[in-house]
Amino acid sequence: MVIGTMIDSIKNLFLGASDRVSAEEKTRAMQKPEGEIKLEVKDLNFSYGDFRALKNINLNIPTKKITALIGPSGCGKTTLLRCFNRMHDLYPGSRYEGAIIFHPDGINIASPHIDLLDLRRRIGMVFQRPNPFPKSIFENVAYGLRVNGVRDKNLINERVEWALNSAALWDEVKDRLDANAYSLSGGQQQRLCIARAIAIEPDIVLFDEPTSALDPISTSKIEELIIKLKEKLTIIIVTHNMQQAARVSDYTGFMYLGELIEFDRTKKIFTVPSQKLTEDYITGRFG
Amino acid sequence: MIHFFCPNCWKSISDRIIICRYCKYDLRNFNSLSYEDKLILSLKHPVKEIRRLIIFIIGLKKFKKAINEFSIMIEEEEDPVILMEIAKALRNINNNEAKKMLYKLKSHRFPIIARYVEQNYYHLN
Repeated sequence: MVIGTMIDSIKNLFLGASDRVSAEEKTRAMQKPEGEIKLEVKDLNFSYGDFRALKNINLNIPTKKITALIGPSGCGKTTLLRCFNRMHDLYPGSRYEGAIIFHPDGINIASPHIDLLDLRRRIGMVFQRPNPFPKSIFENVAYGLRVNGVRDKNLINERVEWALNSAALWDEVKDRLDANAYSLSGGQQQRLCIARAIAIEPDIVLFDEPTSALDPISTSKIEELIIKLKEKLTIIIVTHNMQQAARVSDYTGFMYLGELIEFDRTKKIFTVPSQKLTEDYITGRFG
Repeated sequence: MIHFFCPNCWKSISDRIIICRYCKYDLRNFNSLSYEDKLILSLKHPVKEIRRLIIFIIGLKKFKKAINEFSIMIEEEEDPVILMEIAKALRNINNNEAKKMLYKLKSHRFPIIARYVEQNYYHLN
């Protein structure tokens, strides 16, 4: 009997993530969020060449909420985030199977026929390291408006002020809008990138570890800003900092080896996770 | 690359072993533990951010069983950020035992902790 138990334990240690979770457990682990759905991910598989980075992802992203994606390095969370505005198209050999339905229009983001310029206007992105353009503070925010055909100077001025205000940066830069964006601190540059992303009024903003290169005070300002932005936008954030996910997000998805293991309200994920893998990740057994 | 740790001695180990080669902990025992007991074990995690997260979750869960562990940590912990997180968790748990421990923190050997508790939680007393 002892030998049997040992064999079972050894088998369990060698199983993949999906094999460790029964179909019933999988259903219990994927809670459908309340309210309107903005993105509906259906049986999504994504590959880089021969490597399948995402495996059968099914997920509903709620409208005007913050959804966090957590998991160890290489689990596929950033890959999934980048699928939402087709950032992978910049690299050859990427392949999508399944669908990502963008509501309420019902557009399939994973379709090869989608207008990428329009998609990226509607789904903006903020990266790990601030990446302002080598232009003035004003021009960084106005750039997206101009690219999208806005020519009215008054409207551009209004939108730039609104975006900088919304990004909690206006008071710090209003007297030096012509200064080069590189003259700002790292935290200010990241808030400028957020202002640039929201100036064109997207439906969704994707945040890829937006505070990992920032000090604690700047991190706290960005977190406050993200919470405020959900009044107007749907937000999806990838973070290695689990406490950040617990602090700012409404829903959390835990990913492991390219699979979505559990998706639920953030408080539930951290206080009563339904999956052993989630428990073990949160308690630092692996990472 | 994913790293696995022994949940008893927190040394880095392979994910394909059953007995920790450092402390001889039987990893099958860990699999049968409740989430709450795993949280208690993780209070000794070597990564500060994990310890801080665990204390935060214990506060959210108002998990009273952790108070005994907190009393040891208050004596041994050298990191003020962790000690502040313990104070917040005690405030959330807020039973008599937690209140007593919070009161004790008012005279902690680190003046920054004593001041933090005095300023933020004095109304509890």
